[in-house]
Amino acid sequence: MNDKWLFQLKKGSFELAVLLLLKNKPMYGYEITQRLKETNELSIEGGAIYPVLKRMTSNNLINFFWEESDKGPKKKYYYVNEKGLQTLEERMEIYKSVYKALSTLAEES
Amino acid sequence: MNEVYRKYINEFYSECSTSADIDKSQLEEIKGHLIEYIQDQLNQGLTTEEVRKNVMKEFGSPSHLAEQLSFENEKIETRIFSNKNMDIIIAVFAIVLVYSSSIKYTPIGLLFIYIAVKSIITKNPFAFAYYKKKPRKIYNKGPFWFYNAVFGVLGVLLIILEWV
Repeated sequence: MNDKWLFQLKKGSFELAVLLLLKNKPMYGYEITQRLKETNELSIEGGAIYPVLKRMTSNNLINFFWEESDKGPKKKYYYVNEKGLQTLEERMEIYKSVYKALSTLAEES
Repeated sequence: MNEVYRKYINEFYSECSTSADIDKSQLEEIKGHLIEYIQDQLNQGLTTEEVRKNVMKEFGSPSHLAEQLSFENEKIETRIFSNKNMDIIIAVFAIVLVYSSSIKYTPIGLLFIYIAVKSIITKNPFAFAYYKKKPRKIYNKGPFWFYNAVFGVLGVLLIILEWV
């Protein structure tokens, strides 16, 4: 298996995965990484999620709020905004089209 | 709090103190994540050494984590200044001025000063691949500043040469 290809494929999917998770409810960084780990394929290391979240915030796909926690420092919860929802819809359509095209080619071959 | 956490967070804070790009809120976020991660590991009955290894595997070394955050922050902040079209337009404009007017050295001098200033602001010296691989090294004194100083001084000298 070509690791570089797989790495790029996963890298391109993380933002989409985060948008899908946050569509259901606001989550904080650790929660997001734990949920992604459950998928296996989209598992991401603890530190690596924050550049993704920062990028998505600066691209105005997600917003955040701080909440006090009983167990330690305040938690930064992220949630998807309107632009994020729109982007999610568009990207999922593109993803489905690409998958469909690849499946067609696979069947033909 | 756990020794693994204390050691890691102290080193991480130390690495972050050399970077102007990592803000306090990011540090708080990482702190919370680390605490919860270590707590979960301890709750699973892992030893301190096992937790330490898992923390390094999960987050990388403190310097690696700081570098990851810093790099991404810089990419975001320099987006405004990263318009390559603007660089080309300015360079072409300088060259056109040189050939079409009696001013010979000033446009080139200004171009050199622009390259130096932009490089300092964006922390992105286009000619230095070394810094593309290790962006945090920009904050160390050395080749980066020498490179910009040379361009800046050359620019000023050319302008002076024009008008003296």
